[in-house]
Amino acid sequence: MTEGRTEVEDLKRNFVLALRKNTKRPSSSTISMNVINFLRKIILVEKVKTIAELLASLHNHAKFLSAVEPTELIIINIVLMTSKLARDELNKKNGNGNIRAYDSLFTLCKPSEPTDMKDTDMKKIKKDLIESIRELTIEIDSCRESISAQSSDLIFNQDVVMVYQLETSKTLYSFLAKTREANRKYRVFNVIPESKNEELNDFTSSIRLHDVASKICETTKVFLTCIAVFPDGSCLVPAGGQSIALMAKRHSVPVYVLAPFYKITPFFIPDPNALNISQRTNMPFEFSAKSAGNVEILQPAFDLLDSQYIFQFVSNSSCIIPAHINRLKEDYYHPEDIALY
Amino acid sequence: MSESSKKNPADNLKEAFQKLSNEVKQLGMVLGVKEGEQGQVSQPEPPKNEFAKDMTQEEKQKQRAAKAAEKKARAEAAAAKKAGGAAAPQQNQQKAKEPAPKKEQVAKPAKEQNQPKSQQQQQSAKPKEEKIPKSALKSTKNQSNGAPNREVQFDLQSNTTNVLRTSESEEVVVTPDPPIVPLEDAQSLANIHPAFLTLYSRCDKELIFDLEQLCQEFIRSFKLFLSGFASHSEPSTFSKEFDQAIRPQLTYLTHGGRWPLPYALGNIVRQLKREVLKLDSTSPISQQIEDIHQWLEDAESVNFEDAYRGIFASIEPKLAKTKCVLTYDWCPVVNHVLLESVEKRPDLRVCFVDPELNGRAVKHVNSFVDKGYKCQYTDLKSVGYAIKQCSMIVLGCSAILSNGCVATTKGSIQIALTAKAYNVPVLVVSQYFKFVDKVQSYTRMALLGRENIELLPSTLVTAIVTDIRILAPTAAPAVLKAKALDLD
Repeated sequence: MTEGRTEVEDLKRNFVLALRKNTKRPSSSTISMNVINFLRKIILVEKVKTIAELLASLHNHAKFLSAVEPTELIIINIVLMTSKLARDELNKKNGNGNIRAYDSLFTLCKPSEPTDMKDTDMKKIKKDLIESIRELTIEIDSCRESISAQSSDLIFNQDVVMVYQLETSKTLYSFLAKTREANRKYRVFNVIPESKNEELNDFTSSIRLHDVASKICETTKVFLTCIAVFPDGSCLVPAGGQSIALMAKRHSVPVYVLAPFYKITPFFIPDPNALNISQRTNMPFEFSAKSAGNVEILQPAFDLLDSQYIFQFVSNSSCIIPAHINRLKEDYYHPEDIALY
Repeated sequence: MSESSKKNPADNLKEAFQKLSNEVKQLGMVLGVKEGEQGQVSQPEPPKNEFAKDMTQEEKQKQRAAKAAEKKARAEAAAAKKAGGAAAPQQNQQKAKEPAPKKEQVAKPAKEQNQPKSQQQQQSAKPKEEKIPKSALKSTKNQSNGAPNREVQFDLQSNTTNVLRTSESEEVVVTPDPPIVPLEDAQSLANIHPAFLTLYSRCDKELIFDLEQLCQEFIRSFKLFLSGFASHSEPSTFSKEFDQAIRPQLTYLTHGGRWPLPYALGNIVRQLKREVLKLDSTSPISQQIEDIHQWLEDAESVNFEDAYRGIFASIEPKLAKTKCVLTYDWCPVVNHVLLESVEKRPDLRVCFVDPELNGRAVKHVNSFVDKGYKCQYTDLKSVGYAIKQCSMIVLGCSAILSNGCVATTKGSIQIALTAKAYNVPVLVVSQYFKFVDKVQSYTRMALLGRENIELLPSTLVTAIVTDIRILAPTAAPAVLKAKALDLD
């Protein structure tokens, strides 16, 4: 048991080190893949007797990791998904696979303590769980392609598309590239927060953030990336996305947010700004030396975008209106797991 | 040296062409083309003209006969109508319907007759294609291709258009800028006062940051111009002479009238011209110059120093209740107001927003740091985060138009929209002279051409703080009316 614990501790330490050693934040899909691989190893290494112990262990790890990296909501999301998969395996084994946890009758009749979690064949459940996790890995891996495949349904000839933070989002880039492959002729305004001399690619024309007001009149669609999607349909977008969305709303331009399923966070956060991290600034040394102690430079990483400014979320399965996010979370998360957070 | 080399090279060329033409004729004979046919192809017009000459007399007679028949038919028809009087509408409808097929029947043969003629003309007029208008050529091209043409084409000379081919199907015609009055030559610059030359070059090198500074420097330049002005006329005609002398200076500043003066500066110039024309012609020239000088002094003090104090007095009660104020980009009026407010209330938090970090708003920050005050600084992308903490937005402006729109720096709309989303009031500080009786926005203006200006809609502005009082943006026409009454 001690050896198992030390091995688990080593795994946790290695995972945190791998997450923190990057000077630049890796992509969300990479983080989610790392988390799911970490969980798979944990499930294999840890020796648990019942499913309840397994779930408790997973939640402990989730709390530890969320304390280490409070801004990475993807970690908790993946752990909760894994927990839901474990519950599903148990339900399949007991023959209750068709019962939906969110059905009101089930909620009324459900026992307070899950008695059916005891005396189960953990070897079989673990094996099936590992298989389900492998499927989840495949789904995460193919998420970018699934989102990109919908581009031809959303971008048409003569469209003028405005995007933000294209250089940091591979999903957004592949989304646009896929449409180019379909020989659609459209224009792309790439909004860059800071002026750069180099052009990212040949099919986009870079504009500055303060030029959005003049270019939004020509724009037919706005595509944004997100960091997290909340059940009420609001989402965290890169800083500056809010002002673009406000401008789009004023000019009745639809705003689409690319949201892979692992970014759907099943619980509300009372103050999303608490998650906000400050970014590094590129002010000259003279300014810093002169203003040190007197000037506070605000550089938040995210903006909270209200659901009223979003037309649709482009998820890996389909396009979803913000009001349906609360329904979509049922496919990936179990209500009892969400209640713990 | 051979004989051919001794000859004139032009003669050599003629001989070569002659040989070439003979060979071509021989080749044509071999291929079965007769000399007469060649002549028809190369000179199609003479036979057509001869045919026209032969047929004119007969045709004229026929045409006359046809015209007479038509007249008779019309007269008969008119008589029939009169006789019919109140004929049934159904009959009229039938009559109305009947001529249509006749027209078609007439039109069809006409087209059929025209088609071969046009084809002949096209074949025969190949050497004369240059004389045909371009538009006609393009229309024939379009017809021949059968595909919709996306070209943007103008009837311009070929050397004045640059066609950029972006792709095979798309062509964009770039028209060059309209001709600019050449001001760089010595003759045109000789009439320009050095003070205005300096002002122009300072603007060109972006040494003048904002409109306020530009207006003040313009007034100073004008004072120098006025002090160096030597009149050669009598006192009664001084005002007209001076008005004439001002014109080339303004033409130079506006780049030959190509771009308008910035809104507020245009106001000052307009008022100045009016003052010049209103000068007392009975007083001596020195007195008239002194009057203009005095007006300039007054304008400088009233529009800037006194106005700053008046604006601060107006906005002070509002700022007294706020905890944090946010402003965007650089504006000297806002800087004055905020510095005065912080001196009175050191606990007031001030946040400066720049379009990009290390922009013009650093001047605000430096002015605060120099005096030892604390402040916040951020860029446009972080404005959503910054506005949540603020309870008031104070913006500067270049002008206030008669429809209540505010001409401000680019990006102000995003600030105002975010403020509206968070229910934060937006106040715009403006002097009295920045109200202009215009609603048009210009893509570029003289002297401050590189300054990016956009129009902030009046619906996004809570109030305008002037040196007189706080007004709603919809009160701009009333201010303009009051100004007009003042001037009268």
